[in-house]
Amino acid sequence: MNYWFKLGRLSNAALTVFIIFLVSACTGDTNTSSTSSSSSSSSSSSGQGNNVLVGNESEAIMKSGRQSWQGACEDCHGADGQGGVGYPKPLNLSRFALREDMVTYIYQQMPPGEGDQPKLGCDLQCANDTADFIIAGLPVDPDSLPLTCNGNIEEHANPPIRLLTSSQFRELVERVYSKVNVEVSPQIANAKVFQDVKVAGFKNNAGVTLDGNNIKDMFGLAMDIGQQVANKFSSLMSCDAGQESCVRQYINEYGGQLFRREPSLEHTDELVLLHKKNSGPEGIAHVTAAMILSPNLLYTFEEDVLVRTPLKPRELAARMAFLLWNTTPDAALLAAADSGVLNTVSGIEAKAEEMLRDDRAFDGLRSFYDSYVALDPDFEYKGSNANWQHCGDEFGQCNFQGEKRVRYGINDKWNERTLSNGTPCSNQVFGDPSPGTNKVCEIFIGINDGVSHALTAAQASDELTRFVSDLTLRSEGSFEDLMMSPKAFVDETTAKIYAVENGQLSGAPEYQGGKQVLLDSSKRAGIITRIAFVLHGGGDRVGLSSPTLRGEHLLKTMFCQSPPPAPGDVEFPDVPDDPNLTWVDVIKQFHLVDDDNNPDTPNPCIECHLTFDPLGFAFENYAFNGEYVSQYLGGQMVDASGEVHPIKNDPKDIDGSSFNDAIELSEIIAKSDDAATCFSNQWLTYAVARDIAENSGDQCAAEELAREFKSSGYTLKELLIALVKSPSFRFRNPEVDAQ
Amino acid sequence: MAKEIKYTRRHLLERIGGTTAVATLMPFIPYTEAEAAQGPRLRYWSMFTMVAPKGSLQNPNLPTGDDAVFRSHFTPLNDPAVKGKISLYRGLKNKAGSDSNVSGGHGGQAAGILTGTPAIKGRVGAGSRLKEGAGVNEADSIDQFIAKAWADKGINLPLRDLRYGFNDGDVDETKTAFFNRGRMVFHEGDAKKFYDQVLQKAKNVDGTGVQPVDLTYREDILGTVLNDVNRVKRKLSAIDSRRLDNHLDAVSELQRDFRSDSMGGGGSGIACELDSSYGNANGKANTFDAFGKIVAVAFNCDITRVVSGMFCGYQFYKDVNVFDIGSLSRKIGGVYHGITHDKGGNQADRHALVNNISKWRATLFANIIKELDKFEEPTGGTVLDKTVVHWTTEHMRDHYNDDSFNMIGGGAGHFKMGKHVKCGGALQNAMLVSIANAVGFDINKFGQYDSGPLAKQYLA
Repeated sequence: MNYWFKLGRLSNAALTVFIIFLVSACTGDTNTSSTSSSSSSSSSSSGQGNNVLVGNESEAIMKSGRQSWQGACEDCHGADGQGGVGYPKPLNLSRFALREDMVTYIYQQMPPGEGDQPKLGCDLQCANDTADFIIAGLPVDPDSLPLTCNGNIEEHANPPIRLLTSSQFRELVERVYSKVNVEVSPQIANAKVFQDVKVAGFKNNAGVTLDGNNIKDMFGLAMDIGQQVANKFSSLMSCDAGQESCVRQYINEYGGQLFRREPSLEHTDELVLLHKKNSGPEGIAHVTAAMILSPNLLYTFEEDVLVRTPLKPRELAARMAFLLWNTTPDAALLAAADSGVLNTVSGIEAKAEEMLRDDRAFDGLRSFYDSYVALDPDFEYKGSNANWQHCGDEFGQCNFQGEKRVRYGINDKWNERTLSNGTPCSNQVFGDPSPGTNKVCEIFIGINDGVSHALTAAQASDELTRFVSDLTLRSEGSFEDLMMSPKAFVDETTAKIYAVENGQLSGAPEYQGGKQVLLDSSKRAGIITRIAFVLHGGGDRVGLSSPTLRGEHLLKTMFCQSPPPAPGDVEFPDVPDDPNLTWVDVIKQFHLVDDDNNPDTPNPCIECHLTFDPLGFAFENYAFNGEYVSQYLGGQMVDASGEVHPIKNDPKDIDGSSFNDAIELSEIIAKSDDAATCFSNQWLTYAVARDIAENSGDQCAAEELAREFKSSGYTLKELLIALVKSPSFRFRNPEVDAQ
Repeated sequence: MAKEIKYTRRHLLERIGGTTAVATLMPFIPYTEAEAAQGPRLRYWSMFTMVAPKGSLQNPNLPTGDDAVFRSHFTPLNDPAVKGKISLYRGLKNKAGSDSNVSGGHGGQAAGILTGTPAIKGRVGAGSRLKEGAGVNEADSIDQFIAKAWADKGINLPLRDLRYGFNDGDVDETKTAFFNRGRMVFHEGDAKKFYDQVLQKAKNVDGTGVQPVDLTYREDILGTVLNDVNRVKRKLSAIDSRRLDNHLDAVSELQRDFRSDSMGGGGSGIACELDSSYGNANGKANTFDAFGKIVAVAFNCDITRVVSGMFCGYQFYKDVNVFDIGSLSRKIGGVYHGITHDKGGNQADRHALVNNISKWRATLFANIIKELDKFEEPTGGTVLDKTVVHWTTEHMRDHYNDDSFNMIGGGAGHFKMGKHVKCGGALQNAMLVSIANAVGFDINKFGQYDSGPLAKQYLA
């Protein structure tokens, strides 16, 4: 749940009561009287035990007081007075008998200077206004209140212009030119041109455009494609490339597919003119390059509107194709759009159903879920490599006693020999496995990093996509199934990682290249126990996983919650070398314990880390390649238990729960309405290419989608259908330019 | 320090026409009339590194008195060839970092330290290069600001600016410091490509390059694309249209580049000798040294006046084979960020690693200073004297953002040199303003805050 969803629900009076309740709870004052809050526009009173604080609540004073608070107090006391980094405790108003006492205290003491420095500036007026603002309960600025929904779903923002992703670009160009087998160089497209930027957690290049950093590489790529087309033009078109009519036909036919819209006459004329300058095959190469470089091809965009307007049929077709297939619309879909089938909600629903039956829906789901679980596309584990220890650099000496296996090289290029009592580290001894690089020598020392199976990101992605695809497209799966189902579709590698017995594999039905099996339900449940999810924060060996990263990832993925940034004034402690301590022990000691119990020197880590580190403990059973481990390398048993602690001002319905491992945590999440709502919010964010949590105008659409998802029994497929029918998906609003 | 005579313009003239030519032509060669009108040829070189070591490891090695005297792993900065030509500025507050709300204790600081503008999550506008949709609005980092400002003043150099470095690992996209219109800009991690880029321009500058013929078709293609972009822009909302300006500018720039190639370049007659070994550097350590040498030549040749370099990444140090950095990284088996938090391996190895990384960084910076100091300026002094070399890190120590790390070399006569300057709570923005002032731009604000420049007592 996001802050802006919740904040508006707290009235000023409620906030006052809340603060006073916490103060009394902290001070142990059991005699706190019931709080009264005046409805007077000019004054209010707050009770603290027998104290009555009366302040002035005029609009001007609240404004001035709020400014002072935000400028000088908020850093230490927090926006709501419940404590911040500098003073992580609620305000203690019970110390003041009268308003004037508070004013005097602020005037004389606040805000304090650093160390021995005098207090910073807050004059008498400032002290008065600040005191009144505190007494009034730190009321939220009415101008900053989030928009209320009231059934108004029309205030949403628009997706920004989007550069195609590298896979979308390659798929489009290679599909359109499939007749002549054009190949888009992945080295250039992936590494040089398209950086595939994530926005709000999803790889969608929203707001991204080409610029001076990649235009030259893009030009080279376009020329390469142009040349490939020109070389085989006769296989593409049956007309003479030297004739203008042929060129026009080529532009209309292929430009129309590449641009997902008919090329304008003006654009066509310019391309024909370009061809005339170098007619024949060379001219075709140039025309093709110019089409590849066209913004009509490279970007997805919707045209500006003056009033709220349904997307044009082709624009809507493009949105649906990107959402459900992760690609551009094909000729058939564009033709359907042109014929008007997308002009009604029922038509859209029928077309979406049809698209979900298409094989490309598998790719569409992959695109969402790879980003959803934050799968690193470059992840590759080549099997255990921690069994080697550096013993010397090239040209140096590798010293050891007795007989050892020694390897020489760098990265994945090694020559190995068994040698005795040391060796020079050189090409002369080992040969040169990697010419032109600085190499090293390593000896085999037999340490086990706790995992054995090699794995690539693609394998993890395949396994996850088969799982979610089966649930979504084949078996009417629900959110609960997503969390709990032990069904899996494994290849040779993932079968080993999941320790699937051979008996299950033989004769198992296949789906999308994986064999259908049931995983050991004591070790695996749904998505958060799958390889693609637990890779995140997995560390480099067993026992080095990061509960912090994993817990933060879980909060963000499952509950759309982001803990606040780390404070800017924390000194790192020296961590002791104790072989009996696991990294979890260290985390507990340094993040979660206030070892001196001195309230004046609180551990600044606790408040935030308590909300995610314990969640991360749940994943301790999973090594960085997804293998299940029950004990650390030192022999200690894994303890994957933890609790769910609330984030201040952002409660969720599983707060207070506890679990023994990730299976139990999965069960808790499976039953959580907040988690299901977050899931539908994530899909909406993905579909509209903007962070809906940051756009208050999307609140209604998000709530409506969550309602529909719930009413469908949290059925995964129904969520997608509801999404494409959502007005925020189908309409464009006029944009107000702030500049 | 003795200058390497082969690099000087005087030597070029001697080779061409002997001492007579030197006596006759030297007054006219260095700066053309147009250049003279633009004032002294000033340069800015930004070197950005990620994640300073723990305070307990770093602080004891930094100066304590008023002079820039370093200890332990920072002693490469005490090299007599460097001493007196650098200053460490401390005590500047990176308010943009603390006001940012992205990526824990690091991303915001990194984005803010050279932009002076907080990175804010959810801004999917111009800042969408920053991971997770965060952005810094239309803010430029100081290097990009200077490069554009010079172009706006009519100083058209073969390369508006150069960027180099490595960024290993997706996670560090949040931490790149160079921003153009609020968007993270890339950098060149390949010494060969970097070398070729400069060499090609150097040939054009000297007028000795062999120019390709009949390549005007490239301009024609781009002309068609330009028209197309403009047509699409007219269909878009004002906000999207502005986003597409990047594309438009890039196409225009490439078209100018091609045109310049076709015309055979300029021909200012300045010596640009690039040792081919620079382009064949192997390994990260050697590559960074090569970057430094190539940039020094590029400055001397006036191929560019703005350079930014960075290196970071979770896996970055595993194959830096100098000062045992690579072997220690591999031995510990962790990632650098984790290691600075004392995660992985044993304490002795962790501390040795972060100290050795400090040593390498200090060595690289010292080498930059020495390279620039090799080249004589025709108006006296060296290229270093006309350059602000700026090494900064996204954290000074631990997670603190009220004590930014700013090492200034050269100083362009504007900064104190040889000093340890304690700025006592001024904003990092003031440093950025002063850098802009030092290279000739009379501004009073850079980034989001009205900081003004550094106080006079902190400047030369």
